[in-house]
Amino acid sequence: MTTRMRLWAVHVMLLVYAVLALAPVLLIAMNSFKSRKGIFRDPLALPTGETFSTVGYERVFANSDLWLWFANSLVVTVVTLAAVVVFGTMAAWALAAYRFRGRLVVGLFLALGIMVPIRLGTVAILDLMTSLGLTNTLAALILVYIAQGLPVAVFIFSEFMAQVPRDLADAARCDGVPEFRIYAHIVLPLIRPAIATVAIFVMVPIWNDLWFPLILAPGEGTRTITLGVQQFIGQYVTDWSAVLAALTLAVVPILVLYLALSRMMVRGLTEGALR
Amino acid sequence: MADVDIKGLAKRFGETAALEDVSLSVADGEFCVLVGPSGCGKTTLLRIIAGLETETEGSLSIGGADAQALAPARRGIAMVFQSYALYPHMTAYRNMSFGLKFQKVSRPDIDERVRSVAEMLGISDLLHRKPAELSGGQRQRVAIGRAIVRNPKVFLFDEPLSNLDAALRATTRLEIARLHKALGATMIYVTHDQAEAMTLADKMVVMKDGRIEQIGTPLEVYRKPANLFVAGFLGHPKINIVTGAIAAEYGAASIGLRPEHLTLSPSGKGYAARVVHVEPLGSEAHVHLRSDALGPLILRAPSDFSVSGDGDLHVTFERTRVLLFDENGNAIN
Repeated sequence: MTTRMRLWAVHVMLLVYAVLALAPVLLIAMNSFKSRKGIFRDPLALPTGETFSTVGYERVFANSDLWLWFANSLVVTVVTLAAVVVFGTMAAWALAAYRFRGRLVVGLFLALGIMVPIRLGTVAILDLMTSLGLTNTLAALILVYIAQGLPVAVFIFSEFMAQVPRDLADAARCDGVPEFRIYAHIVLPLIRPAIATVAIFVMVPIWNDLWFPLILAPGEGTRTITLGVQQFIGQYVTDWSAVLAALTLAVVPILVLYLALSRMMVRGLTEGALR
Repeated sequence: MADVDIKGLAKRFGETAALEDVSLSVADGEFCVLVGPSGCGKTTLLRIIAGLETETEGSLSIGGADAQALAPARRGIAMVFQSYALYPHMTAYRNMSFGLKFQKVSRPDIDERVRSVAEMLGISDLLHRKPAELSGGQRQRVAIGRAIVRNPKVFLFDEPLSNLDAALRATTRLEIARLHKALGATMIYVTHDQAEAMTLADKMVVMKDGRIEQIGTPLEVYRKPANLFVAGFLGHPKINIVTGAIAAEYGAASIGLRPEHLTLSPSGKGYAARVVHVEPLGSEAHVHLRSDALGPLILRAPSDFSVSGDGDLHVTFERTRVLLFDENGNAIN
């Protein structure tokens, strides 16, 4: 009986949290299908026959470079993700499996990256990007986001790799498998759940970031979706229907990526890859 | 030719020495068992032979060639791990063939080798399964198969049976012995189990605290242990060690009496003893005795042993069976 009650308690808590987390998103999605009047008369109401309107979406598709923003965001996120996973797993495997001079220093250096927010270095980063002539390029964003994502990635990967039995790598060495193949064919498949976890952790803040796109790549051609949406927010007039519609659309790709990755994560966990 | 020659080998981790002055030569085709309590350095020695660990000093040659500078795969060895170390995400077939892909072996050749080895080990039907779908014994076979497929000059076994249950351990032990005969390869086998060591070894190496205590055939080592540690390590039940006045009679600081060399004397000759406890094992009985002259003793008796009367009896032994040790615990010849 008590275990059942505890189960209920846990579920109630999770449910409350889920409602809290989802309510703003639902609110945005809901109001994006309402006319301006509908939004302001009763923001919490569902769209009715009277207030239902797709005017926001129409304006977003007609008056903006939505597809360009999407493409920019996707390029930045996916390239960063790939680089973080490749370099992060390599660094983590090196730190976990090899003893070398300076291993502790490198590990601490990377751990420092978790503790110090990268935004503190914004001025220096802008300076650097200007000197490199990378302002208003997606490369600038990608480089910064790789630096932002790597420390956490290395940390999580190291934890997972510590669980890969040492005997496996040793057996492969006896088998004559080259070191890089050990990493690629034995270690990587075993930490698949970790890769999915890291991808989710790294992906979401990048997709949602407004700070660095605003500072490093505000030009017409390099705007990301979060930055692009801002064009509907004016100093005096804000086109709320369009803003909410664009925001709702912005959620879709990340949601799809998230679902794909979390399925991969669960599959990895249930397969019991490390047992 | 695949003899293994080790001279003056030492391995130190900072201040602590894992191996000290180890010299050993294993002849081609010999089955050499390294045995000792846990932490005695036997696994470290095996890993150094494999090239997974680097020695601090000393020399190592395999098949007459200096092996120290060679990577594990170049040494002509194959290792079977205690944990099996099968790649969990690959099928048994892939586990066995994976290493060969990097050895410039052609694809049909790989296939043929894997299938014939699988045939030999009776795992042909299991090749498509992943390790998680195999039992402990089957995993062990796949691990051994992965070693055989490489055609190594020297097989290295690191406690390969210790994760198996007792019944399976006995049959697998037999199979390894059969395999050794069939392949004729040099094998170096690490275990802490004296039964495995005694039954498998051509050459038995007893280790303790990073040093070799004795090298010899199993019977040699059992009959003529070099010191008290070896005498005590081998044999079940454990050897009886007697010190004091009776040992002095033999001109030794202590004497060793194997439980099977003690006999009960009905005539009242010998040393008076009292039965403390009897362990009937079915095939035999272990009788725990207490003697004023000899101290606590264990005696191996026939299975129908029973205590008669008040449990007082007499123990005798042949002088020729007595093992003599000096005050440092070393054997006196």
